[in-house]
Amino acid sequence: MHEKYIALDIRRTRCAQAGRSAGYVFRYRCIPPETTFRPDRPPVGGTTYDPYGNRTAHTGTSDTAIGYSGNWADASTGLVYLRARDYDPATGQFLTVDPALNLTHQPYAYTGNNPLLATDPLGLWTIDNGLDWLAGSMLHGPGANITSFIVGFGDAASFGASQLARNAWSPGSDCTVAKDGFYFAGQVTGTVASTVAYGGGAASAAGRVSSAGKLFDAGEAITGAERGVAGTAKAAGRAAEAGEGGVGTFLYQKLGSEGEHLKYGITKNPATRYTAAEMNGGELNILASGAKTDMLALERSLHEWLPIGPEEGQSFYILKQIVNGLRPPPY
Amino acid sequence: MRHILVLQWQGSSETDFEALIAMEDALERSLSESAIVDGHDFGSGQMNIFIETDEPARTFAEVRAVLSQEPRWFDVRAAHREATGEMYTVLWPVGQTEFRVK
Repeated sequence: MHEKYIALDIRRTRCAQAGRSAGYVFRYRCIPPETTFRPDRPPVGGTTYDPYGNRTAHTGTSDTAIGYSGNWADASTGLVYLRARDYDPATGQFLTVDPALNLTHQPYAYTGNNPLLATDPLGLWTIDNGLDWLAGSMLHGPGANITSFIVGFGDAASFGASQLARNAWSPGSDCTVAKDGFYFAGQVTGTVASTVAYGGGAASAAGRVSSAGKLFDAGEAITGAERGVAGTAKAAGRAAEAGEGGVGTFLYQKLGSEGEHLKYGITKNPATRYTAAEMNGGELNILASGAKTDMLALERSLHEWLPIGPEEGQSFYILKQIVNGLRPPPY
Repeated sequence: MRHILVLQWQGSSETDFEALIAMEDALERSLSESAIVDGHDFGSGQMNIFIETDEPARTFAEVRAVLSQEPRWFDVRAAHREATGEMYTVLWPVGQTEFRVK
């Protein structure tokens, strides 16, 4: 089961296998099995980073593609994939402009150049390690509310974020195995690993990882995964496992031309879901596949824990997010 | 399947979403083998059910038979396009030509 970790990813372009349909390109991305988390195996090593994410020490005989702040790191370039953007620890800067620039007013700086006190696990907004925001220095107006929102979903909603990180990363992938294009249970389990490094202990975990740089905290991973969206992800994984080889239903994320989140949807055939005009230069990002009921449950969970995209506008999810203990920003 | 039939409603509330899922489930249970209920999306004030079919007009007739008693049937819009195409042909309401999935 742990040998097959296959992701469909339409967002990134590094994977060789691609298809074209309805005028837009979709791509297959493969996840090497050694990058996945095995709850039955103890930690085998750890890596320490300086505040900006430059690697300073490593213990153990094995390595991992999970890097600074618990996100996927490209060993060849040193870049860290922080979901919304790639981050370069060598310069302490993001490579691209902040999608939330109008709120943060920080186009490239990582954590407002203050990584000792803060982290930015989504590549969007700064999170203070002490769970308070650097709102005074980083944000203006309603932005303070947005930062609080991110703190809130750092724990239970890590599925979507870590899943996106996984989907967008492919060093050393063997794309030849991607033809069936399905996620399997192990893949979702692998998401749990990201939960650890990213947010296994609520928002404080993000800070912990940022400052201490420690990985493989398996105990917290399982604890965190049993809650909220990640727990649902496990259920979906089981369904996918049960249906291995069968026809899957895909949960996708529609991305805009700048890679921004627009909305989620469910389809059996991503290639024909939208016309090229409807995609408008954007892409579909396949988040998971499995039984339709589980994909629907995942879709609901993502809505209830993650920021609401501009093509969604389902205001009722704002109330659900508040009930879930989040503090969503004004939309 | 060579065509995508899209059923579209206005919708933004949780009640709308639940109605969409209920209608999608009903179609999955009832449509003939000539059609496959592909899924849905929801957002931008509209909600859509996507159906793959080789015979969009016939499938729409089946859809009408299944959903005509549903409270949301009265404001449905339906159009189809080739699976890899761009242009929609509006089936319902008759006479309309504009159709867009946002």
